[in-house]
Amino acid sequence: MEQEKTLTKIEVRELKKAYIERRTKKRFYSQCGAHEYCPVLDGISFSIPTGCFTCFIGPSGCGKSTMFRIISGFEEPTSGSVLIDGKEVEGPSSRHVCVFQEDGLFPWFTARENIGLGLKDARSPGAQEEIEEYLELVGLSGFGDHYPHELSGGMRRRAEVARALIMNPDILFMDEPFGALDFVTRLQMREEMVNVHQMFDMTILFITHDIDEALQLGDKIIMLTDRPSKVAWDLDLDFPHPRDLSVGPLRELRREIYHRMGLHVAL
Amino acid sequence: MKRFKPLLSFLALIVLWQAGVVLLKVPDFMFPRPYAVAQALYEMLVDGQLYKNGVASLFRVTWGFYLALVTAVPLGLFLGRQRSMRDFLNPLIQFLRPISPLAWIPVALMWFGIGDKPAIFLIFLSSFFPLVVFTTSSVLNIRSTYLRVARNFGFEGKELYLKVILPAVLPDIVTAIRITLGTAWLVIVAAEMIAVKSGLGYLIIDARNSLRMDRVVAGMVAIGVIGLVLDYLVRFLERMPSVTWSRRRR
Amino acid sequence: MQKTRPEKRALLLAIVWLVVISLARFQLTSGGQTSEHLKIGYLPITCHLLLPIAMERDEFFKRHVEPIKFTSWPDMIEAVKGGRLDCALILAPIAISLAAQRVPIEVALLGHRNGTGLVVARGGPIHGPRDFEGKTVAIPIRFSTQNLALLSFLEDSGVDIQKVTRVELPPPDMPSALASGAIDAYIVGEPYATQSVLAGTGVILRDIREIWPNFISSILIVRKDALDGKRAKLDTLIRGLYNQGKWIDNHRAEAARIGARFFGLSPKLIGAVLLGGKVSYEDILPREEEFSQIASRMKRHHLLEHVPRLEIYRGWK
Repeated sequence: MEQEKTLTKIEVRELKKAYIERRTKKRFYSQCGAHEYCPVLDGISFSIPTGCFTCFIGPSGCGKSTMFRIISGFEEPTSGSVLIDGKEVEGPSSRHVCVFQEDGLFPWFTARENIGLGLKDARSPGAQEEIEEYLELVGLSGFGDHYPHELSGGMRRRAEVARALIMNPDILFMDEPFGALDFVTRLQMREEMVNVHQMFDMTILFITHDIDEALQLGDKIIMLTDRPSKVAWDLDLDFPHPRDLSVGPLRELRREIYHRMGLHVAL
Repeated sequence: MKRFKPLLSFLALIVLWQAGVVLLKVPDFMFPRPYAVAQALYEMLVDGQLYKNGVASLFRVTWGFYLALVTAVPLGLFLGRQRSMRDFLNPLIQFLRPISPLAWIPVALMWFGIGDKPAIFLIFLSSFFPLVVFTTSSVLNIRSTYLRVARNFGFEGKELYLKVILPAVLPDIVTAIRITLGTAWLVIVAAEMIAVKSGLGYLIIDARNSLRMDRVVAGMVAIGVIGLVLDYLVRFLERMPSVTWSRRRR
Repeated sequence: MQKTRPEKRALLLAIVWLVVISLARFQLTSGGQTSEHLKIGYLPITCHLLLPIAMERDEFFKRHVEPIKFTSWPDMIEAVKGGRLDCALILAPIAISLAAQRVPIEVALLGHRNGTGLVVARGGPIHGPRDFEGKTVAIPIRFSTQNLALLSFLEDSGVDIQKVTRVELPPPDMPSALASGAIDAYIVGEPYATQSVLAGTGVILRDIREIWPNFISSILIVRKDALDGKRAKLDTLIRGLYNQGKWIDNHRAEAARIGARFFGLSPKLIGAVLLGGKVSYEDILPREEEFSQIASRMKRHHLLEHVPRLEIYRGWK
């Protein structure tokens, strides 16, 4: 296990991304200022070891989602490169599954059909059994025939995580997956993510705007600056779960992160 | 009680009609009494006129509409996904769409003569363009997240259409079906007044030419009733789970 | 999982419906009316009375002829142009105009002679030709001998035809338009002239015989391509119609009864037309000089650019 972790899974080198905005669109998008050239990522570099749970934090609109789309292969960088297992990323792959910020369950399919989406022969008894296992894993047994609109927000997220997990991916991308949930549900989901990571031992890339969430989940936290963004702090955390943030070094780290983000809150 | 309200409104209409005809002393050849219409309706039911012409109208609407559906929906799906083809064909479709199908009647008669074919052609025209436009815009409105998920799972070609695009646009297509089928039923009656020698539209024009106002109104009643039934049947489509999700989604 | 999905059921029902409605339709239309039948177009006017009489009395017609009823001339014109009819009873000026457009047709018979009236509102403002100035007159269609007759009637009386408004109306609408005051007069084939007289709303100002003796309204035309393929049958059809003309002249009351039933019009009305001697079937063979006369009148009123040659088909005799 220790040896595996030292293997590099993802290597990001000098990643840059800029959009060319048309002048007519400027009025609506003041962040780009008077320039037509609109840089989002300004040379981002980091590497992530295999099996690492990496959390990305940073001010909203700093380009985290753009960076995710590039690493997962949905978009091309302007310059720089992304290597996964030492190979350049060429496009999206079902080995690298994303859970998007917005609801990504297909509303026209039931929870069961959604979870079976990536399976080759979802109708076969074997696949059905597997789907049932994953429903149970995320606490949705009995809800398999419900449509997404019949499930609560937390249940929908769980179903989506199950849909990703059943693919047994190498890498799981999660872009603010719990941002829209209420506080208690979010705490529950956090706990479940820890379990999931321990059970599946996959590399997880996780965007969040919640610093506590990052501190509780991450083996590694990468903090980005405001747009055009760079890596502000690349921090390894080697603490056992469950983590208590109110005492000890974690409490200090939290204070430090707040400070570096320019937040002055009494903790 | 709630179930009987629609019946009540029809009853009110009949009472009002009877009262109007009697009080204003409207002669039968201007507008017949409800009873005369009911009698004409019964007469036409018994002598098979209603069945024969109703079947003729429904036959044409069915074929015209089905032909439009099986050509317009695939074309709409295709145009929704292919930007260059959309830029190329869209102006043409937008140009042809506002031309009333009735304006095509002379052309339809010239090409297809009299009989079922021109009427089917007119119904096809009345449904085809709206269906293409509805389907195309529906494809364009699919949430980009769903398309990303599809890419992530490596869906391509047939799988992409069957698992993502078609189910995503199905609710919109069902709505479009309901609207265009209503239009088709409007158009068939108008088309049959000119282009053919059978059907409910013809029944009305023929009754008029033989100065039978009671049969004219009876024909109108029959058209209304069939229109209601068609709409009711399409509502069944709207109740399928694969369609209801779009209305229940928060 | 294995229960049928509602989408599949809907699709299945849609297909079942298609099959059911198509079968119902074909069961209703397969009453022997195949393409072997001669298709003849007509309108429900007494100019076309020959056809219902033949349909009633002639076995050949019952077995081999499919009469196709039109309610307006433009529809029939398009059907003739498109070659959907083998033959048709059609207004003479329309036939001439079709010939000018090189539609391959020939004239075989006349529908009848006379049988048209110029009707004015009873107690209305029109008492003579001079009163027409500033008034509105309905005509069936500009390509009609009725229109040409009206124009020559007005011109012969020295009326400026530019001052008379002519509107095209379907013949069945004319009596009610006159009664409601929407028009001041109309000229039309029977029975729609007599209808206003019987209803008491109109009077016949001039019978057509006073304007245009031996007046021709509708004629029987045959398509040349139909003659090539079904000549024997068409000849029998023309002979049949010709013979019915002779019969009608001697059995007017019975003819009126048959005609009224076929057209769905009142027997009293058709009776008044036939027994009143308003129509004649004595001489229904076409003559070339009559057509060139009609054509030159059409040219004078800018309804034709050049006078075409409308051939007469005599091969059936």
